[in-house]
Amino acid sequence: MRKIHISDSDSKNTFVHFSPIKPPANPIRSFGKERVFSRRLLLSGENSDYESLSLKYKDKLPQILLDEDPELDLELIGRPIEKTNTVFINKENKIMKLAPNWIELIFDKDGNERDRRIPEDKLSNINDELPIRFTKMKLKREDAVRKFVFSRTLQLWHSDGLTFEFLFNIAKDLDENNEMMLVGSGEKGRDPLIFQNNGLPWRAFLEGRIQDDSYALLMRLSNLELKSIS
Amino acid sequence: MAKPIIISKDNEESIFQIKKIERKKLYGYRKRLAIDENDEECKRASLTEDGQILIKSGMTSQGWFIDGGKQIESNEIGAIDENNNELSLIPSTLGINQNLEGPADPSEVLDLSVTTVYSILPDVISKALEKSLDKGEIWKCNFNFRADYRMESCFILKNDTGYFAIVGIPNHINMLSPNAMPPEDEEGEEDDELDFEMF
Repeated sequence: MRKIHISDSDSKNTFVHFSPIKPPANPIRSFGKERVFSRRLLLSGENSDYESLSLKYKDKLPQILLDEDPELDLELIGRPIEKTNTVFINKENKIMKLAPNWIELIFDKDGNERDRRIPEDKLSNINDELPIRFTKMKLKREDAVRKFVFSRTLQLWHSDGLTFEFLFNIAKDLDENNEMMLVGSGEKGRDPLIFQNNGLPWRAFLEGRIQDDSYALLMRLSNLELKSIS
Repeated sequence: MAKPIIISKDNEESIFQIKKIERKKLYGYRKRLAIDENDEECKRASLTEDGQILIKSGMTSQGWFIDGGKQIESNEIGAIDENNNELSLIPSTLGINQNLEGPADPSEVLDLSVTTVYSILPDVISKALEKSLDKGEIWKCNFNFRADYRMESCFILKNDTGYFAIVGIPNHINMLSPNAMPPEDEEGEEDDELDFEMF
């Protein structure tokens, strides 16, 4: 189980476990009451897909498709695909012998390319020496749900009496005040959280709930503001 | 164009057109591209384990089967729950009047596994609903974009920029007592998409 380094409002810090909250499982696909499973099947061969045939026959392709069925490779069609290896092919459709280089393309919201550059690795920052810290930004629950879309939730878990007390107290304070606290990483404690190398950066809010001597301290993650689109 | 959401509060109908909100449309996006030594774009493909077949994009399809190998047509596929009970097909709720429940507590919205968010534009909005949403209240109804086997929950709310419908499946939150056992280890989920700055 993964751990996160977190500090509270008094700058006390510790490492605690976390796990994702998952929705109930999707209904299971079936035929009557019998479960069905999917298999990937070949539709065409390497030399009989549209791209290859188009290159080979050019503008004669429609008539050749009608007369000769070159797209039907009866040796291959319907063959199930089991394990495969990922390869990269160049513009001549040849498998590359060397690993490719990577560039990063930046598009604006209208889909126009704005920039291209060599990608930089973004390292995970939740288990660093510097703990995730409380920021000055607190929102009431009713305001938070109208400002952000929280698409993922992590639950923080204690592992002993000390971490129970630590997390319980954070949850209690937030619950009593009906508040959600923005937390951040990095030197200034304001950066978004990155849970795995080159993963998405998330804005994270802590939300607490108390029921008798039990608690839930939830990290609500958002990468989308609730904004109307024109 | 999708049919509208039709909802009723106190027997007064409101009608909203829907527009899906995506990160790309708000912030733009980044994409990583593989290039060869001549800076030409390369494409990802698959090679069968025996090295015999190169599979490019669009060369495969998915087929459905049952034990024994019989292929099942897509229109014959239904659904069962975890107890093997057959589930009924639930029709789309779009264009069909849904009663609003509420006002809902904001924690219900927080406890939703969000599947889709829509910006919703009122064609008709009842005075009572408009007043309630202006006050910051949140209303809940059933939602199903297309016919399937699980009804989703939809929360209707308003902020300074407009009206929204947040759709998803409710989660269950476990309260942890001092002796709660930690959950089993699970593999982390990978995200291929890279982020664009939100703030």
